[in-house]
Amino acid sequence: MIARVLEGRGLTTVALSLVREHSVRIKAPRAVWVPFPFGISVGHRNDVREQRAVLDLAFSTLTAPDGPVLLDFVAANRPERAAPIQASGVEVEAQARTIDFVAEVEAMRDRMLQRADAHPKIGLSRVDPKDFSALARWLARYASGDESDFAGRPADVELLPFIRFAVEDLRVMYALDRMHARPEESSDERQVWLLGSTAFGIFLRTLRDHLEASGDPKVKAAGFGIAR
Amino acid sequence: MPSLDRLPEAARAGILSLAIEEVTSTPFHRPAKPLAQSRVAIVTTAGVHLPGDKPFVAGDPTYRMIPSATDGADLLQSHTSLGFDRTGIMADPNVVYPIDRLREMVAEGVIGELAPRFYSFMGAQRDVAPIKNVMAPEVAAHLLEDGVDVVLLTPT
Repeated sequence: MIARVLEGRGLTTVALSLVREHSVRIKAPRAVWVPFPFGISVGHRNDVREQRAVLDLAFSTLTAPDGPVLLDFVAANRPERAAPIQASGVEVEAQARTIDFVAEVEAMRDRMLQRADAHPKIGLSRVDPKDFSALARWLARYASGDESDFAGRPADVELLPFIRFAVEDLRVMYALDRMHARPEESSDERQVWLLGSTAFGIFLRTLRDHLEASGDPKVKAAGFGIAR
Repeated sequence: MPSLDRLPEAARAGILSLAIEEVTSTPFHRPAKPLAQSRVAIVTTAGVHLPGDKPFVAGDPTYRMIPSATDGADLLQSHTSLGFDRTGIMADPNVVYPIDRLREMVAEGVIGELAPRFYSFMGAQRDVAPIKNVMAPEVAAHLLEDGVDVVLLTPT
């Protein structure tokens, strides 16, 4: 849709597409459908050759005399889901129930700060990682029914988005820690670990259940966005 | 994505229920010059932005400008969803925002040059009218001001 607006104003566009059914209907001037899971459009992480091959195919459409042009990128077959497995599909290991959530967060945080090569992409909540112990304690209290506010919540971010951003910061911190330790692991395997073998996975379910028990549809919806 | 038939039914129905414009024709602007002489910009719907920018919220029709000199590692992504794994993007932003690949293509002479300003929108929009009627035309004007020839659009 954006491609059509830009093209109509005199720009030449090349679009990557994740949903072929949509591209067929929307008739973008030039599009390349990529057979990747959501979250990947140019190519898999650190796969420079694949990313470049997608871009080369995309730019090859520039020589077409007329449109719409829709090409399919042929990718190596990978055993991966189109979308991540969810909490309802992962069983929690008994051992995970013995882990202290706050201690687990602190260990992840300490390793993250020590990793020189990490991208500390944990800025959505704007909570300094040194305050993650307090953040984890507060989140755990909130999930168990004590809805007092977090002292470090930025004034311009409302409580529900703040909870979402804080959870996302922790989710990414955990996932990057795991990716660093086991770089060969697939996204699906990492997700099963996160949801089934960590105290964070148990916390996510507790927080979801607490939010979904609310009578307020907005709060219920927030629970659906935390885990399902 | 590996075609909709591999998604669970509820997710597939959700994706197919997204707003899609029914159209009969396609605007088509042939490039005036070869790619090796063209100025290229990224416009993404991955919801990435500078750390100091206001994060996107669901359905947010606004856009963020990203100077093309910004490294991918310096971007945040506030489009978060249980529908995709963001970890790959956090580890390698080129997964949806191919800034390193485009820089390599400029260095090789495949692409002429990069435009100074790139743009980012939030994905998974239900009401596309504000973007179609207001935001995307604004972005088009900025891109034309910058002398952009070719725009690469990337989703997440």
